[in-house]
Amino acid sequence: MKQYINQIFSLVFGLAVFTFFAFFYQYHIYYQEQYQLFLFTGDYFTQMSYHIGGLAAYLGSFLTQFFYYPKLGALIIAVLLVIVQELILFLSTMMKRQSYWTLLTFIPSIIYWNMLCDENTMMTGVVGLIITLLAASFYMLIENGWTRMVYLIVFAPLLYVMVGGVYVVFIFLSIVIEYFYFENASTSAIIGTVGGVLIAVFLPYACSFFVQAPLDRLYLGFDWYRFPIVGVGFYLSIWISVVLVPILFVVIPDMKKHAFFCTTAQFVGVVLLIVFALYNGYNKQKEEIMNYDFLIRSKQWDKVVQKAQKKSPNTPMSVADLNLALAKTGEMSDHMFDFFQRDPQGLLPDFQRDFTLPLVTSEVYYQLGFINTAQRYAFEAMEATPDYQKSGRVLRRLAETNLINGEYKVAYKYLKILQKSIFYRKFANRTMALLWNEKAINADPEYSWLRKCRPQKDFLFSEAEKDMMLGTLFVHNRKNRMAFEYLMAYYLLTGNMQQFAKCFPLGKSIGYDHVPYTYQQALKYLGRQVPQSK
Amino acid sequence: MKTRFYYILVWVIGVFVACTPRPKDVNKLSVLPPMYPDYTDITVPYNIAPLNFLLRNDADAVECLAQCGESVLQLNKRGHEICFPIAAWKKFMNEAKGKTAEVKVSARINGRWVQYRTFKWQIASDKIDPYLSYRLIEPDYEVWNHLQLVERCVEGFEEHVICDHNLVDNSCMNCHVYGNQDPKLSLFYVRGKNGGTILNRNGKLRKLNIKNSQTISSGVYAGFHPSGRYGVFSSNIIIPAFHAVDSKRLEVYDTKSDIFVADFDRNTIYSCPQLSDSTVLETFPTFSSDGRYIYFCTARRVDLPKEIKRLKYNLCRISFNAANHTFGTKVDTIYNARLMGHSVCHPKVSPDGKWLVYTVADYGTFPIWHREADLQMINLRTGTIDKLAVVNSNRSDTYHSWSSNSRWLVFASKRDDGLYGKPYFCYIDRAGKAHKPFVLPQKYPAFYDDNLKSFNIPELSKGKLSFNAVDIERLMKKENEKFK
Repeated sequence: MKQYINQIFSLVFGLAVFTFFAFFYQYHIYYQEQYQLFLFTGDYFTQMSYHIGGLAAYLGSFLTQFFYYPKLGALIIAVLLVIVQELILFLSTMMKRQSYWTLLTFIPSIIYWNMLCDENTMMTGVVGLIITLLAASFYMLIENGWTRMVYLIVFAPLLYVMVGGVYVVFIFLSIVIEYFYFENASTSAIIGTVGGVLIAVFLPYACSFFVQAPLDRLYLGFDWYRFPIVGVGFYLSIWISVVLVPILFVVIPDMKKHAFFCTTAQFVGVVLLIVFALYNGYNKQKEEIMNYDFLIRSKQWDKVVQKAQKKSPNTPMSVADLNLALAKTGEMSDHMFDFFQRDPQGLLPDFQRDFTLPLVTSEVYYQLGFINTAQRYAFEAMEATPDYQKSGRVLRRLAETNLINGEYKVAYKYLKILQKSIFYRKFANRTMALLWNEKAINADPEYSWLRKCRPQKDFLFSEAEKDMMLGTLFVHNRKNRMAFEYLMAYYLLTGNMQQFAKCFPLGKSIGYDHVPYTYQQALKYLGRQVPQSK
Repeated sequence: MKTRFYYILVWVIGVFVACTPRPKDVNKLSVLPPMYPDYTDITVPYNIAPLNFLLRNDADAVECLAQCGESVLQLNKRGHEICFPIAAWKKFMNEAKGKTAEVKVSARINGRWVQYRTFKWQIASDKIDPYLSYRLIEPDYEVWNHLQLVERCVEGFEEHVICDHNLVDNSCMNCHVYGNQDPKLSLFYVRGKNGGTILNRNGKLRKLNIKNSQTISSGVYAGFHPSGRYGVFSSNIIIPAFHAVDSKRLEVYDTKSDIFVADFDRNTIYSCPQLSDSTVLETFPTFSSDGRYIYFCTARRVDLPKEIKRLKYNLCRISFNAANHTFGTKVDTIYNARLMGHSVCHPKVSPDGKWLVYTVADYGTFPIWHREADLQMINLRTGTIDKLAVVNSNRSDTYHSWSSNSRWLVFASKRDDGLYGKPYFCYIDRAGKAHKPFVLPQKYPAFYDDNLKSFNIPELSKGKLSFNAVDIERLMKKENEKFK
């Protein structure tokens, strides 16, 4: 049992990571996937890997595509974090075979776990770190000092090209290994150390003359975080911990006599660190919002309403999701005020130069029949993605809007691209069969309905006059119940009761079997405002 | 040992030759090959990069045979793509310069060889300027992403970035324009906090704030005086709007716009009431090839956006005296929008001064988003208009510019899918006759299928620019030179 204790700890850690991401943070995983599109093409490989750290970015993107299935994504994260820990354990135990401090090797993985709670942390970093640790492990296996020196000086720049700024971890680990494991202070070690440090300090600077990229990113790395600007602490916390753990292994004296105490204290420490990491990283509100977004994206309208019945959403994004679901389930006119409603932003949020909110708004406009506006919001969301990745979700939506608009050549272009992915291929193949086939499109309930709803007469869309836009849409197709209910909801939320009263009779064409409850309340209110005749 | 080496070499070559499928029992068809890009029956400059193409069918082997007298260029490939070796291509094109080559394409489909109708490549001895600059941008609405100004060698496939938004504080940038197609005379505008007009003149880069208290904004559309000392600019307040119906996406219009001339030696701005009338909109200025006139577009103000369809621009010109930087008092109307029923944009005079090419659209000032936008060419001596039927498509054709020898025109066309603009080249022969255009060749013929960027404002140049994106990054940290 004792001999397998490290493996058992790793397994338990892996299970904990998996459980967390698979059952408590699954919508974060799903969220990650939608902001990239991994393609099995040579061009995609070239495009991704043709910059510093490109190989790690490519592999990170490859792994992220599997986040389409959150449990698979959780498994991938768990395995990668365990690999990081195992590699650090390998390096550390090689340096000092008898040690009672093995649980320290979990620290970098726990830090990374915390970082991965942030939806903008990319998989590139974990992959880059693993490649770096593998390179350092290989260094340890080279017996000859001069060969090691050559390997360090030759491989460090190559590693830099593959993984970016994290290559400094390889250099510093190699130096640590040289002095603590090989206990070598000969000429080869000195040359290796000086050469390594010079490479660490000057290589990114030298690259800045040839590579067109900001200097700070050449030093720190690309694609570790979705936003290009991120604090140095983000990188250093993980890099320093990875180099420090093997040093601590050697430096901290063994407490053989107090082995039980030592292990227990570490275990408690690791558990506390995990608790702190998750307390600090876990964002329940974002998980909730992402859950709503997932349900909307997968058209699970009933589940949105059921979820809201347990706890009413209160952010503009999730309220917009709920209202869409209420409209799609036919509950909006009766029950929208059963839930928290703030203002019209919860119906049709205003445009923001952002990559999240416009996606939700695009869903609402799409279901209403404002196909061009839905297309615009989806396109803008993809354009606003800070790491310039293409989005599988958006390309799918753009293929649909172009299909509905009869722009088959553009739809074809997007579908051809989606065909080169794993998880969007099925959709692409199915939709490809609809192109230039009016009969097939008209037989599709969603596309044919949206074709009937979309405006036929051109006008310039005005966000400041959403009621006018909704009115125009409804007048075009008086069976468009959602447009009518959004129009009425808009007047109710803005308190424009006069317009509500004016437009209320238009609802006749919808064919309600009763006056919707919300409208009854509004009419009662209006009735009280009219002076009673004596 | 040597014999053994040659034996192995012959064996290896033999294996390769044996593996390359060659046509047999060919069935001749009367149709042209379904090639993409469409390089059938076109006129190309002898110095163009290889016209690599693919067949849009189920071909698993292709043969392309181009023949011009004794010169032959033959390529047999597995798959459905033809990518010519650059050395063989250049040799063939040099031999065929000024002549017409016949091109035969054969393909193996489901095990059977077919040969398509032969087509022609007319290989013009008029050289095209070897470099092309453009702005790579997604056909977006308001938000842009990964914006770059790029220079490409059209004799090969090398590209280099001349400005990258990552290196300029994520700022947006306007397109890059040359003066006299000279790589030592060009400019572009970088927006944002530290933005300014980047002027590349005689090997020196400057960052200018070409604005004074009289101008509406910094320079937007620009053109150089042939001397290089002056630039003519429009200053515009630009508003985007969004269409609700399928075939239209974006509308961009000006609520205000004026024209001014900037003196790069004295850092001074000059204008005149005819170019800065607040009751009309003036834009798209460009100098004539002798520098004695400024051509520009002008429209009477209407109630925007309500009356956007009534916004139609005339093509006008006004004289300019570079010696004392004065303007004429009379404005000539070259194209009357009211009479002709169209709106004119982007006038560009050929360097030999004979022709002026402009874009016509139904209305407005942003033809790249107007499907009906077409190019037209006016003979500046006779005033006759050529509607360039062979050049235009049923999608937007605009953003044109000339080569230094006035024989080649490059423009952005959305003819493929209606959304993504690509650079097309068109030969204008000595008689002024336009020939069928062809798209900028790419190393991988499927490039345009996967590419999600538009090529905006393609401009030709006689040589390579002397700066790159890192030079611009450094320049952006400097203070702007002010204008008065």
